[in-house]
Formats: sequence, C-alpha cells, structure tokens
Amino acid sequence: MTAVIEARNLRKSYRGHHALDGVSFAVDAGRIVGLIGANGAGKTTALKAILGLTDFEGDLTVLGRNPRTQRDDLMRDVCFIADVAVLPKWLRVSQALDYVQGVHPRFSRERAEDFLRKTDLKPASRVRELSRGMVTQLHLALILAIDARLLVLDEPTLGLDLLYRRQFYDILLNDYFDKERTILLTTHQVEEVEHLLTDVLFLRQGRVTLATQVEAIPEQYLQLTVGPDQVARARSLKPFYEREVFGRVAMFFEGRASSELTGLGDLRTPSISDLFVAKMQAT
Amino acid sequence: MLQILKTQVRREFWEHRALWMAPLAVAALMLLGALIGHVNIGLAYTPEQRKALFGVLLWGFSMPEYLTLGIIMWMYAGECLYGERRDRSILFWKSMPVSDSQTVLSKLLVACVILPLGVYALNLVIGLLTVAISEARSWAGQVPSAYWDTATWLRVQWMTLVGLVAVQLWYAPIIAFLMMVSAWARRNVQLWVFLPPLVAMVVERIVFRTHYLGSILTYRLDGVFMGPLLTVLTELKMAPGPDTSGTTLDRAFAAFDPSPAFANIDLWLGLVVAAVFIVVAIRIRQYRDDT
Repeated sequence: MTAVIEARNLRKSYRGHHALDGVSFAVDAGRIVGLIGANGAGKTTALKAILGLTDFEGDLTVLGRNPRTQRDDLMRDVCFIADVAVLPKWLRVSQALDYVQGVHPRFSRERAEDFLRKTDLKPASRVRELSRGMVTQLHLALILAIDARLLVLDEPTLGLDLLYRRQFYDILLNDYFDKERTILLTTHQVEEVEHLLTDVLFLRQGRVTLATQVEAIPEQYLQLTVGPDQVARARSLKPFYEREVFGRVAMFFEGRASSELTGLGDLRTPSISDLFVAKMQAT
Repeated sequence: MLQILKTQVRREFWEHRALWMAPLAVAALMLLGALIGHVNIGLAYTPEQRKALFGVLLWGFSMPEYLTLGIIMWMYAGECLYGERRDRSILFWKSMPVSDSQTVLSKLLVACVILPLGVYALNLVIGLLTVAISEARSWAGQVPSAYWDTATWLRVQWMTLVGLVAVQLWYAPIIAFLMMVSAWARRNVQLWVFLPPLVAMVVERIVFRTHYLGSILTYRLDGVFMGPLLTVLTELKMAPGPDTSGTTLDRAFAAFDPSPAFANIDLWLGLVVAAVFIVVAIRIRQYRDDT
C-alpha cells in the first residue's frame, strides 16, 4: 500500500510551547484515520501542516508532494473542511458552486446540485442567512462533488445538533468513502466516529502516544473490570491505567494475552474513547 | 489558468460589492444632475473658448467618479487580503487549488486594471448620456441646446485614458503597499498603513533633523495631481473674457497632458517598489492561516 501521508519528526512551536514535538506517522490509502487528542494537543497544527497552511520543521509528504511549496497543486487531490463557518458570510449558494466550478478541475456541478436538491438550500441564499447545519450541508455538497483522494476534516461537526452530525457522517460513509479515498479527521466527539474509523492516532502535548489500526486494538489492549476482591491480583499484572466504576475497578492493560486476565472479571476490548481517556490520564 | 483568473476576479466583485455599487451610485447622481440642472456654455465666449470650456467640463464631470475610484481602490486594497483572515474564510479559499500568487495577482488586477477601466467606461457612458439628456431637454425647450464638439470629446477621452494609466502606474506602489499591509496586519489595517511611515518621519526628524521620507511620500502622493490642477485653475480664471492668445484649448490640454509623466524615471522606479511589495504580500499569504 502506498502512503498518502508520511510525516517524520514534525516540530512546531508557538512562543516556546511545542504544538508538535517530533510527530511521525504514516497514513495509507483507503483508510479513515481519527486524529484524537485533547485541546491543545496539536491536532489542528498537524492538519494545518498537512494542508500547507503552516510552517513546521521536519519531513512531510502528502500524496507525493510538499504541502509547503505545492499547496495549490496538492489541493487538486485534497479536500478540507475546517470546523464550520469558514465559508464567507457574503457568499451565495450559487456563487459557491460557480466559484468551485471555476477553479477546481475535479468538481462536478451536477453532483453538488443533486446533493443540494435534497436539502432546503436555495441558490440565492447567502451563507449569513443559513444555520450552522445548513452551512455544513453546503460545504459538504461542494466537497462531495470533488473527486479528491484525501479528505481532511477538522472538527467538522462542531456546534451542529445531533441530526446534522449523524447525517454528516452517514453521507460521508455512504456517498463519499471508497477504497481509493482516504479520510483524516479530528473530533472531540470520539464516540460519534469510533465505529467508522479504521485507524487511530492519539496526540498528547505534541507527541504521538498511540498509532494503530482499529483491528489491531484487541490484540494490544484489554479492559478488565474487576470486583474489589480481585483488585490486588489484577493490579499485580500492571494495568497502565485504572478507574473506579460503580464500586468496581476498570483496568486497562497493554500487551497482555487475554488468557492471563480471564477469570479475574469482565474482559473486553476497550472502546476507542475509553482507550483514549486511559492513554491520556496514564502518567 | 485564465478560467481561474476569471473566477477569482468575479469572486472579488461578489465580496466587495462597493467596487461596482459605489461607481454606479455616483453615476446615478450624475445623471440625476443632468436631468434637473444644466450648464450653459454661453455665447459670450469665442468658439475657441467654448471648445476649451467644453473640454474642461467633460474633465470636471468625470471627477466625482475618479474621486470615488480613488476611495474604493484605497479601501479595497486595504481590505482584500485582510477580510479573508478576519472571517476565517481563508481556510476555505486555501482549500482550493489556487496559488497564493494567483490570489494576490487577481486582487491586484482588480484594483489596478479592471476597476479603473470599468470606471473609465462608465464615465464615458455618463458623459454621452449627460449630453443626450441635455439635448433632449433642449428639444423640450427647458434648456438651450447642448454644446458638442467631437474632436474635443475624443481628445479629452484619449487624454483621460492616458492620464488614468499614468495615475495608476504612479500610485501602484501605494496600492501594493496597502495590499502588503492587508496581508500582514492582524487588525487595524489602516492604522498600520499610516502609523509606520508617520513614526519613521518623526524619528527621522528628531534623529537626523531631515525630512526626506516626508518629501518622498508627499511627492508620491500628490505628484500627479498638483501640477495640472494648479494650471487648470489658472486656466479657468482666464477662460471668460476675450481670448487674447486664441489658443486656450491648446494651453488647457497642455496643462493636462499626462505624457510627460511617462518620461519621469520615478514612475518606473515606483513600479519596482510596487513589485517588491506584491512579492512580499504573496510570501506573507503563503504562511498565513486564520490566526
């Protein structure tokens, strides 16, 4: 498989604070990668580096190009939705279509119009008259109509209500994603995307703390929930994180065989959000 | 490439509606003026003086539009690379396969070529409509018949066009400077336009007791206008009354003649400075995001 994104030792500081502190990772084609981290962990900085929107140190190749010097060329193959409301307020729906049609060689106006017909958006409406959800629909209509290879989403559903959020991801999966395409996204609402991710990348204070395929998580991580009587025995197997849940203790193990833990309590594969919390809280 | 440029230019007129609304509003006022007021090039003048007066009036009537042009150019150049960062839409524009050079140059094209030529064309139409309206009103007996002299009209149009080109080239460094500050400033573009030169002038004054910078700026700012304007005021004072020399028209035209401006090396040096500002503006936009 060819790597869509290859990052080696990315560094970026803002006034002494390391937004990216030696980040390395690779993203293969046809994956849906979740870039997950707390506020200020460097997610947006990493995405901006990938999109050629910010300076950084280190090596970064996106679809075989250098995003710093070849942003415009790269954007033929990359689509990007930042958190809502980056479409200018004065833009009309029809103008948005005209504009993208005029500058993007891979844009299909028919596809965008087909999508817009399913919404309440009118060609003459201005962005300032639309709700957040509708602006996102418009942006999505533009993006879906572009035949790109990499889609980058930065908190795409921030501030949207549940219906729009659900619809957003459904459309993304059903109408957009295929084996040729790659999606890289960041979100706070991990629960909402964990069923669609194929890979996760955890960032903490500018460093990668976990980079794995979702399929591989069961082999590496186990979550064991034990009653008070088994706590001491389970703890002796060195969980990297534990927390109390309704009088029982949930323990997270890395690199343990399930056979070592069976019989001590309820054993399961941690969800991505639980694993994220465990990884972030573990010292 | 051409398609991208065309789309970028359309985009500018969508965003900055003052670019076309302001000149049209002034045009509407001018035509309203033609409908209710009237200017009489009286019979008291010699034919030669009437021609000259006609020429000067054509020129004078175009001033409101050119003044508007100056104001909207200034405002547009200061806003065009700043607005997209203020409303964060730069993240959308930068997600499109349009380079920073294409973006900045399309904005420069709008400010320095399309807008002035548009205003020129509009002025030409207003001028003709004004004469047509006066003529129509004279048929209705409201006003005396309009004065018309095709040769003078052509001459004024040609000189206005040449003058416009000269003015655009002369002020190009100022527009480019505004665009550079627009790409750079985090807020208060106009403050950043005025403050650094002002501070530099004050410092120069105190430290070196000179005012070269001030002289350069004043020279650049009023270099084109002051000479011809003073001359034309003198001409206007002389216009009524007997024409002694018989060459009022030629003297008026000589006063307006913009062609010597092209022989001024400073005009071309200014273009080099403008090019530097534009290159810097492109560089700045390359590393700018929504912060």
